[in-house]
Amino acid sequence: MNDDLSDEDWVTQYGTIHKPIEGTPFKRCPSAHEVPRELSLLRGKKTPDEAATAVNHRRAQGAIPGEGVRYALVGKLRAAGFRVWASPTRRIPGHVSVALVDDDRLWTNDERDRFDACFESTNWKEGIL
Amino acid sequence: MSDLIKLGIGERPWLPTLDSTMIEVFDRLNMPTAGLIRQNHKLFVFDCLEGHAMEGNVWVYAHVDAAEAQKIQEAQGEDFTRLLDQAFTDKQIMAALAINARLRSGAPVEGETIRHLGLLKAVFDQLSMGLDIASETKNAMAQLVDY
Repeated sequence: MNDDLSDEDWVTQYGTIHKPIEGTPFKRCPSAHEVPRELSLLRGKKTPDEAATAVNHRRAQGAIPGEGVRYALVGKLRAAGFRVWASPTRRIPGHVSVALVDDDRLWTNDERDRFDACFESTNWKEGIL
Repeated sequence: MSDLIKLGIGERPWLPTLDSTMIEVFDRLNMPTAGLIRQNHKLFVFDCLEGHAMEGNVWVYAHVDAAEAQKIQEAQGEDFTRLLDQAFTDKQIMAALAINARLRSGAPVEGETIRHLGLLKAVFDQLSMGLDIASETKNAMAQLVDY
């Protein structure tokens, strides 16, 4: 595991208002079928366009209106009880994973709220589809 | 014998039948979004084309031989992206729609169509055709449920 993220590093979560997975623009917890139970974030503060292209290289034009990003400090996530580490994939070198520190289980509502509360600002791609 | 992957309705897009086995996950975004799997002694690569953060997403599957799979597995950076993209051109592939991380439907896309239109447009057209037909059938069915 390449755990080289410092507490001062920012991470970005990519989301959408268009029929989002599990009904919220940003995922609040790993899905029940996800084993290990980890959420995906991106290293650094990405714009909606940068995030869209990072997760899907075919999105050369970037995000579509209604897609967005939100930002958190790694230290804040760690202080809230989450494990955060760099987990590069083949096409997403800035991929970052988040999981519970203590267990690989479903997140409780309290843990979902704590995760949400770590994010400080949101940035949406504007425009009309 | 067909080189098209078999899809099980209701199965996970990254393990599209019960007898599929994961060899390598190449990418993930809250779920495996690209990888190499084995199904019935054949190798297939898969890739999520669109809808990574959405309830519905579009996936493609292409058969690769052992040498092609090895090249993709060993490649890095832009070479990897190019080789994986290449696996979905010049051959018949399978495109699929998943909802809530469960396969809902699929259809083959011809290699010639991909050559002419490009992968995204070829899959988009195939998906649109299916949705148009489904919409007509839904309209016909509305007669049954409305009265």
